Amino acid sequence: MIYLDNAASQRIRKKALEVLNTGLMMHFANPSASHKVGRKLLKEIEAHRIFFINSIKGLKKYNFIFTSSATESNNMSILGFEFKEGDVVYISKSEHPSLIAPLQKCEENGLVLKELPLNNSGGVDENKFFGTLDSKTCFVVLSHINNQSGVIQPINRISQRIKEINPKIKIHLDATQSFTKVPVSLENSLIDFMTISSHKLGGPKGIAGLFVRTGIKIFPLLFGGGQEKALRSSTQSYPLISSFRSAAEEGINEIDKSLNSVGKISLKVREYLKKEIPNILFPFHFEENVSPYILTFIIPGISSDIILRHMEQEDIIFSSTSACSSKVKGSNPVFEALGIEDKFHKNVLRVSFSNETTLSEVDSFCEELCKCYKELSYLLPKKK
Amino acid sequence: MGESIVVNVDELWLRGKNRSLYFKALIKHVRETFWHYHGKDFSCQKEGNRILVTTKGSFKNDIYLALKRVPGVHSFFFAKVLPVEYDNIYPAVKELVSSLKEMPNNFKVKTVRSFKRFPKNSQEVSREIGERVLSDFPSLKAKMKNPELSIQINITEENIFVSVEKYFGMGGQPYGTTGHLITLLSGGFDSPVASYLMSKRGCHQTFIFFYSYPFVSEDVKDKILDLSSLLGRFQRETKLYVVPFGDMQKKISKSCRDEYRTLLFRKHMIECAGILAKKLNAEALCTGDSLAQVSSQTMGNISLIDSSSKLSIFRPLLGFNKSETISIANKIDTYSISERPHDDACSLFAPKHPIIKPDKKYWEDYEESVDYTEELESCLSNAEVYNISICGEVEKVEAL
Repeated sequence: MIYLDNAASQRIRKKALEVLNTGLMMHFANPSASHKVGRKLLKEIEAHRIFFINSIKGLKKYNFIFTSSATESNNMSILGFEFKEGDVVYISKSEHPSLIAPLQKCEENGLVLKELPLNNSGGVDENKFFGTLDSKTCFVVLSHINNQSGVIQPINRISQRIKEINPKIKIHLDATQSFTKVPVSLENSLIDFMTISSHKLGGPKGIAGLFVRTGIKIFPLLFGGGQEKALRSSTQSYPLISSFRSAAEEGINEIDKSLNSVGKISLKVREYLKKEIPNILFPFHFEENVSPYILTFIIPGISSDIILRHMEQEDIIFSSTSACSSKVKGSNPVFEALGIEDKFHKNVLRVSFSNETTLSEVDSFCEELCKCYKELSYLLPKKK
Repeated sequence: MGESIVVNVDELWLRGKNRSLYFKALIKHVRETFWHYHGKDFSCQKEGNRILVTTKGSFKNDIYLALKRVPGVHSFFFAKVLPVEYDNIYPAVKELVSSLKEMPNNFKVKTVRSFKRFPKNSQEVSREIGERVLSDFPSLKAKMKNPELSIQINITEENIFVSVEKYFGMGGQPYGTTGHLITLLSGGFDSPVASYLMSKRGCHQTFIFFYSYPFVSEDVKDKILDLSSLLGRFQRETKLYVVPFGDMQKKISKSCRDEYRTLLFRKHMIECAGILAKKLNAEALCTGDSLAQVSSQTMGNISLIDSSSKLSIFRPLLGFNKSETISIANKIDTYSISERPHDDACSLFAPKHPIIKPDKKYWEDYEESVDYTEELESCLSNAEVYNISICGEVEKVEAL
């Protein structure tokens, strides 16, 4: 199988799997237990927590809460934040449903949701956006790397401008697609919340985290034994946490090497497809502002679903949109927000790479995709 | 104690010498329905012009709905079955009325007496029993028109049946008495309703679905399995053939003018269903076509398809408006399955302007020059085959 849907989920790294297995077999005690085994695990969890905080240069400036998923982390900062009636929150429709849905829930209590404008290359339309911020704006939600477009937002510049306009505005950054893929630093403390997830970076599923800037108060969603500084009661899973750390550490250590190899892979795919598929469109590829890990393209005239199913027959797996939006029928709000014309919504395809993706894999992918395109080209509208 | 269900048979008056065959088929279906929905503790026999099912215990609730799905059942009622003696009637009536969960405001007694030598006539029985009900249940008032409670007394030569509630079945002809159809199912609203209507007319049906993977997703197949599970409950046993058709559609598309694609897909589906019919000794085909609903269902296109088919094609929805079809789909519960969104292979291939008035000459030339019989046979031999039980359980079985 050639798997090119790593933005949805990545295979667990070998070392992380070993750590997980050892954890499950050997370190299964409850870290909240008062016996020596429990106390030892709790100490190690704290060390892992420090690792994550250090990894973004956030020591003393941030707290880090282990959660079960990026969805939970995103929900936690939004639902746990004390919004007042009339508070304004900015978010783009291109964001993940785990950010949009909890905000829509808060709308029932008087929160005002406003569209964060994007320009036609998928970046924040800064001129338009900063002009609209005012004293009622209380929260801005952004993704570091959008899971569909791969566009990397210039977070430092944007967050600096936001805080200049109104330092009270809170910023939530979803770094699910960027952590360990591109450098992420919160050294300047401009970001208030940041989500990361384990299975997107080669760790196990069921574990993720939320960075919360020191001094910010949020309310827990889960109550009980008071774990995670009473912000998330639940027995902590030492095996998942330690495996998450292992994967993250490996990813961070190899960040440049992976960026380099994935960059070459992405470029190769773009060039190959551009040459072989005459009408192919790459709506987001603009120099260094796009993550090489995500490559979205459009093949006009042929339904992406049909291409995906033809390719899956050859055991080549990729996608058209994020797994959490794949059941959306009709016009797709994410594509719309990203500036993809309506007529192309059924023709969008996304390949996403990992540090494990090889050149020979993408060669086979390109060959098969071109073969599939040629085979299906009779479906293209005939020119008169 | 024990319970009885009396089943009235539909269209009995239309039957002549074949009445016994008709009964035999219905009893078989009723018996099997009870086996599956009740268990083995019951007896089922012909009792005059009715079918009488009795059990020593009590019937399970599922049996109400199951009997409504047996073609040929006009109506049925849960009854006390009594020896033919007048004095037995009132105590049974009193017990049934007392056991009602909610006491109605008004009632009437209706007596039907096919046993003419019974010492009292129908009116006398109704009046006398009615008077006793009035005196024992003072909150009840007599009401002749649209009463809330109808107490029914049927006096036959063999038994007296007393019941307080009557349920209507789907009516029509008993299953399997009118022939074997191959019914073409799609994931839409129409074909399941067409199948239901043919079930009502007593046809045994084998379902066939043309599965255009990879042009359509597996969701469509799941829909077909769910629809077949519902439709299979109107029969004693059903087979579904899921025929891989994606490659065939590709071939057809490349062999014809764009505007004929949809029509030629249909022609080959009909041909393939015809091959299956021959293998299974089925006598006709059934589709959900409704005249002029879509371009492939114009009179010209329907006639052309018919001209290519060796077998008759039944189209029970030909004169139906969409709203009429939808209302039946709601009644038989297929609506919520049919409305699930799915890819339609025909529309994926459909040209902007499909042919409405086909060119006969082009069609004849095509038929002359293209013969896909072998390919269609191969599609059929690669079909997935499913068995659907009377309870709607779907199980994949060995192919042809």
